[in-house]
Amino acid sequence: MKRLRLDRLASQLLAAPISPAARLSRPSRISRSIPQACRHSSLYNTQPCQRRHQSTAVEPAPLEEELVHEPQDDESRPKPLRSSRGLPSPHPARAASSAKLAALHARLSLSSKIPVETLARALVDPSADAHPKYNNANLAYVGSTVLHYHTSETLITRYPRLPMDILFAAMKAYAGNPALHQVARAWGVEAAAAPGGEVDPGLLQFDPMKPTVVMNKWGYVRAETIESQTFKSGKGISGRVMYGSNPFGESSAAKSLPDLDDGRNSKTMLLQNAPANAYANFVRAVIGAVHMHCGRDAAKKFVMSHFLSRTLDLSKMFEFKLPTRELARLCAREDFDPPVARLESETGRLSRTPVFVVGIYSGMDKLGEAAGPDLDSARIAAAITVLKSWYLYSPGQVSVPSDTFAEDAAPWKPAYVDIGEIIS
Amino acid sequence: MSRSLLRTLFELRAPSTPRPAAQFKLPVRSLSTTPLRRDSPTVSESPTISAQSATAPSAIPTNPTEAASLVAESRSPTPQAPEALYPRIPQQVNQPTSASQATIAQLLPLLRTQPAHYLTVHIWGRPYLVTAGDQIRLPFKMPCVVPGDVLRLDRASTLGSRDFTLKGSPYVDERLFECRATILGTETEPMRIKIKTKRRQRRNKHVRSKHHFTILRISEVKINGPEAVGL
Amino acid sequence: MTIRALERVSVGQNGIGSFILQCKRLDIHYCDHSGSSRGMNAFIKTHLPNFAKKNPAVEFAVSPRPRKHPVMIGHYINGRQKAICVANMEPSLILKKAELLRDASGDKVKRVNKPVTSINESETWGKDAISNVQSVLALDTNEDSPEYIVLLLPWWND
Repeated sequence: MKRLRLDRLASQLLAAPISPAARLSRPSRISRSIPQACRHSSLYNTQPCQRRHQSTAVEPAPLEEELVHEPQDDESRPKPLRSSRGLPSPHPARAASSAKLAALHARLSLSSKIPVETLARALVDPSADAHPKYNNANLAYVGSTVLHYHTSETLITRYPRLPMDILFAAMKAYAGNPALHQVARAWGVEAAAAPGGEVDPGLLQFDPMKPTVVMNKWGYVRAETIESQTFKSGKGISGRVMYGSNPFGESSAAKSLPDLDDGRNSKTMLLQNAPANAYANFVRAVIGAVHMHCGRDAAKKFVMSHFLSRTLDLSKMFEFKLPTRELARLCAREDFDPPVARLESETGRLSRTPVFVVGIYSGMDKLGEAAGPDLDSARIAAAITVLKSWYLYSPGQVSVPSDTFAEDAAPWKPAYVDIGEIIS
Repeated sequence: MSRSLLRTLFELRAPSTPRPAAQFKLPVRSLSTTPLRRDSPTVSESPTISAQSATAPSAIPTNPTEAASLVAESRSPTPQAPEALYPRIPQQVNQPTSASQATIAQLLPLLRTQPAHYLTVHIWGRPYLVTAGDQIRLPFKMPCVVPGDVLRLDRASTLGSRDFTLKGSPYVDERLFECRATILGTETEPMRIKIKTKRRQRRNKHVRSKHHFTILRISEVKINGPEAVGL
Repeated sequence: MTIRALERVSVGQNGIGSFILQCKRLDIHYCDHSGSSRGMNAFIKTHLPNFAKKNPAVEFAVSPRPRKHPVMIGHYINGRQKAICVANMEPSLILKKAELLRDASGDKVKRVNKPVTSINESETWGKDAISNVQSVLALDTNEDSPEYIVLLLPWWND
């Protein structure tokens, strides 16, 4: 039988009306699990406890002012709440004493320039805390732009002949929500059971009952984009290139534009997979934090080492509708001789499982070969092989535009990018 | 603490920037991947290319502490003399014939242009055929390493791509490739119980054994051009 | 528009690009009175601060568990746990057990017979001849010296 700790209960009641500064001095009341977990956290948390420390890069908040006007700052929250239990997300001052947060910081090998308070803020989803000064929306937006920029420049220079469809899908495979969700899980981030001021700041805070809208617009929105969404145009691939709302070419701009919301399509504004989105936003916010605190080069290295080093087999992403026709058009465009399919070898033509090996030749050059159970499918498979080898041409390790950002960088040598897919 | 800081530096470094050569040449702590071998050099025949490892004889590292066979890169250099766990064994290189030099100069660029490479690295005398991203389960627990350490593997008997193979005799010149492996950790397997019986004895002896194995991940495979050996 | 993209997700492998330690938390339970915890109590006082300082990526949680044997539980990123009862052990032995928990991957312990595991396709004989044709087309259009093609082709012309 557990012993009731009456003194704790009493002090909790007493703690409710006291000032926030006094509340900060007794953080152990907030959660009983913290003192145990913090027993060794002081070993590697050498930073002094800063109260109300915000991400200085995103929201340059003067710290001294805050210290002076502590009660006023507390009132700037959406609802002036006295007890920490009522806060929608953990107090930033508690970040320095969280063992989980320090362990996550060390596990990711983040630079010491990134304070744990920023990491704590990256863990707060807008669905948990709607106040933009306390959630990760700003950092996630910065991080997503950095991530998408490096992903796209790497893909385009490394595979200059990828069709737009495949390029969009590859962008999503590297930087989309499912991939970032997997990255966050591989980083060992756990979600809190429910968001609130009393949970450990090292846990991901989001509310699956309150999914947020897709956050991919910030500030200026082109008039054409709104117009194209209104008139339901831009469904084709060129329309997606021109007006595509997100970097994956998905026409989900209507979901994210709040001024188009007339109440009828409010259901489409909601995200389908809220946990995956929350995990992905945390990852984007970490990239944003690296960018803001450590600079552009460190952010690029972070993106390269954690995201672009992942394995993706691009040759398994193609689905062709008319491969033989496309191959003929390719040979005509590139002034090759027209392709000819020749039977190279066969076995068991009259058996139950025949195998035909068909090669495709252009003049004297053999472009590719494939095997199939009948002549036609072998020819189609061979054409697909040739087209894939055309589209997946890679010049190897070439420089990307962001290599020229350095001070002593060589001048930019234009990279070779193909004119596009054969039949668009 | 310093190790974690150093590891931060290592992991945040761009893959495109060339690592300074002195970094892995530091005589920090050397573990030899291969036992001392005094085999007679054999010329191996490959169906595509056959080439002895070509080396300019002046560039053979003779100083045992100049280059380490298998160096934990993330260690910080200690000011005092390094403790050599295992003395470095200089690579046994044969005098390359002019024909093999010509073959390397001609065909190694072709091997480099083919996109994916494999190589047979030797770790303590055992060959492992690996590509970038593979995981190796060593048959022993490697001493004095912690998860996250990066090793440079410099003994390989084969470099290859789809159509070309470069075979060493017995090893390829270590300047022709760069192969790095990250220590992932230590794993075990279920305890093996061997029951020993003797005739006309009423007892069975249960011999238990449970070993620990170090897990490596090949993080980088890079083939250098023939200019690395001065061709 | 004859090409359609199939959705896939890139696969991450620990150790490529970045390394993440798989052990994320180490629970350490002890008892103040029992004799079986004597070694554990000494370990907590002597070895643990240093060990925790050396492993900042692991969260250490020390908590008493009266009238029970001392135990160490490692929590791993894949969601599994590994528990070791360290009753009546010497502090140095407990340190070794802690290192074992730190180095473990958290996967189920199983016997592996092949030393190399790979997700890459075989280089020398893949499922289809993409890489081969790829290099030919690349060299062909790069207006490099055309004898490259001749060198690559005999394998097919046989």
